[in-house]
Amino acid sequence: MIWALICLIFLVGLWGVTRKANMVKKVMGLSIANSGIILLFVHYGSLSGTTAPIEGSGRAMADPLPQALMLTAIVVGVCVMALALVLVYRLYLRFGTLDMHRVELGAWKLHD
Amino acid sequence: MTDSLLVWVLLAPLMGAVASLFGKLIRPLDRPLSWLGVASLAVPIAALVLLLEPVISGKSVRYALGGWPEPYGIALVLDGLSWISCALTTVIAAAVALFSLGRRRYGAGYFFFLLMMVAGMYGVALTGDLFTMFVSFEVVAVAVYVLIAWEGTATGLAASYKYLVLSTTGILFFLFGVFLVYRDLGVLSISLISEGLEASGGVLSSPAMHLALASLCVGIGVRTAFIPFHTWLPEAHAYAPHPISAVLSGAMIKVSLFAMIRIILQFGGDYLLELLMWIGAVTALAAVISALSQSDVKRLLAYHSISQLGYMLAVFGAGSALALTASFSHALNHALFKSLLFLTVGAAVSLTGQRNLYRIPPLGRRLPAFSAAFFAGALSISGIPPFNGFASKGLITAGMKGSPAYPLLWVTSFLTIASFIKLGRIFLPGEDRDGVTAGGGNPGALQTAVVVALGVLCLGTGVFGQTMARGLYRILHGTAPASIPRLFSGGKLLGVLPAAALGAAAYMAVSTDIGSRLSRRVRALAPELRTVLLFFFVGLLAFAAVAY
Amino acid sequence: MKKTTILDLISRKLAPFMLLFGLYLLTYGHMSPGGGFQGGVVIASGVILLFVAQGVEATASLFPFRSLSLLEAGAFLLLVAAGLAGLAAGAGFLGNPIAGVDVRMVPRASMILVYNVLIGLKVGAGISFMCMYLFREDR
Repeated sequence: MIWALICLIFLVGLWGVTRKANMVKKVMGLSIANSGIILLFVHYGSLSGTTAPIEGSGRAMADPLPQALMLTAIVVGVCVMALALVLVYRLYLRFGTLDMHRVELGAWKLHD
Repeated sequence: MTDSLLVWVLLAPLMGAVASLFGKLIRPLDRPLSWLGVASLAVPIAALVLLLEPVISGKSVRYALGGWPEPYGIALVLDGLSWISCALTTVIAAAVALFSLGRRRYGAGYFFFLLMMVAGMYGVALTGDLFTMFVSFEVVAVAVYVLIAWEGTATGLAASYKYLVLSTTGILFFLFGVFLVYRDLGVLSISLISEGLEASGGVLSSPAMHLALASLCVGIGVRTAFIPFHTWLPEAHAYAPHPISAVLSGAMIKVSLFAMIRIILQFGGDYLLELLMWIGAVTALAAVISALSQSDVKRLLAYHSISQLGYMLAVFGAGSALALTASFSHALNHALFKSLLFLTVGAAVSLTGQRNLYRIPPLGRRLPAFSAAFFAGALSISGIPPFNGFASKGLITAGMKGSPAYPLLWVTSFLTIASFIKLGRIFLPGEDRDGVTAGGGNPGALQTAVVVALGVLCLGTGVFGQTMARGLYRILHGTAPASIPRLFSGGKLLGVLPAAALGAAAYMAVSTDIGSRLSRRVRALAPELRTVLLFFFVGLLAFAAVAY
Repeated sequence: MKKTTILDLISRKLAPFMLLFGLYLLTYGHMSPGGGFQGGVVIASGVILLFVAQGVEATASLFPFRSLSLLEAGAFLLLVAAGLAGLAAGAGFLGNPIAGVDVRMVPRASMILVYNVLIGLKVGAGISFMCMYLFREDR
């Protein structure tokens, strides 16, 4: 059940990247899809238990590896999203629009 | 001792990046700290030379970060494949960094990102587990996004944004593949994957595992830019600053290709090889047709990068040990001549301010060293002896003997010759018109030295092609080769002539009126971002379904 | 950004607590949820709240641009140095240099604390600097 939900989140993100023309919404889609993957790992890690992975907790410990990996993945995702938004901002300043098609047409005219 | 040498390969560019960062903040120290940053690349050169000895004898060097043993910690692994990957990165990065230092055009911030990119590429090459590979890929990617957009031009920003969207989507698929591997095998360590798979019956035995391999390949495939994931490359490489185009085409796509090759080899994904061979051949041909129809010089070179990458992929798909050597040999040679081409053509663009090759006046007399180097690069990529392109294309021919995809590559090679005849007009000796310069100014001594050095390397690796091939085989497979076909035999040398003749004919055909109208049609076919993402899913399905 | 009374008041009262919470996450990251990156981001969000509500000039008098960028670079340098310290002490790069030290003087896990603090400072400084810089251009 949760797997289906996570899959839905990932697909919503990818749909946003593909079908939305607004550049900011594309970045949002990427962020949502990123969250989907992160949830996938974290949920899988919680399957083996839900207590903090510290020695001596006794009961079933959560798998520490996916958590650590996903922290890194979140950091990377934040950096990339920040950079993406800066690029969108600079493109907006240059072209005056957030629409990807108009930006592509504008860039196409500049070089050909 | 050798173990800790390995960590210095990774550490030196990182420290150089820190130095450059301070150079950016403390304005008077900008230049000296940039030089210090570039000088840090000398450490990996020394370390790699010292580490060649254990690699050639077939042992792999391992270094555990923080002292934590393998499944718990991150390990750096140096085997033959990663040694070649690191060596390639080092040579190209050093050339490009030295080139960028000339003429005072780039500040210390640029070198910070360049060195972070190099550190990331070493990370991709040296890492022992999948997740560190992901992190290293993203480090490289972030540095590259910034560097492509470095000059702040509208086209550069748009190209960087498109690459970002495509590449991030791809890496999400890579992460999905990592998840599947972790779920089924419980380990992320690359070398333990093959053991785990043998225990459970091979890749094809579980659908999750070959979906994992498909996702991993698709994720890296975006960075490697074969069809259908290649659409970001022409713009990104064309609108980046010139040294960055050189290092992107020269090093980055190869490093991703090597990572993908390593993953496929570890998974035992032999069923993918035929698909890759066809993808490679089709990529090579389609890209060279697009290249021939370009009039923007850097886009032409960028399409050629895709095309040559198709060669590497196709011969890898042929599967034999010799074929693997051919693929790596061509990767190394391509790195040399493609970065040379980008640097020389970039200098022409900076000097004249024009990107259209019909509008650049002939610069042969004005830039004699650059023109000579350009022709070295052009002859290399066309496969003319004694340059290195001839040697590696000979190896590719031998590796792909009898394979049905080979005719596509053969057609590609003479179309390559045609497009370089077309490009060569900008470096022909011609009258030195006065109204030529735009902002650039003549290239400086350091830049000329780098370009000449690369040209000499192209010639050298070509003349010693047989020895290089033998050495590469030894590094990759740990044993001396049984036999490597003679690359400079009379038959092969003569075989260049019909290719050159066909190339000249193709060039004349394209220059006619019908040819240029067709060219314009082909140029307009470049797809937008939306359709590109659809190609993505098609590619994933193709990779996943090919086993059935 | 239009300065309303609510924003003005709340931001001035709340921001110090956000910075404090971020520092708490940094320093207790090895024992409870938190850590370097998390604490750094919360510190940055404290600064962001301040300049969104108060304006960049006012915040820049508390967190000058120059100091933030030097802090970020300095933390990066110290981070690499800490890794090298591990290398020099024979525990490998990013290893624990005080692994052999007498436990009663300094707990061996304090290396994690050092890394957390450095990363937190770097991330906090970096993200605040980036957001302030972008916000500043909005005139």
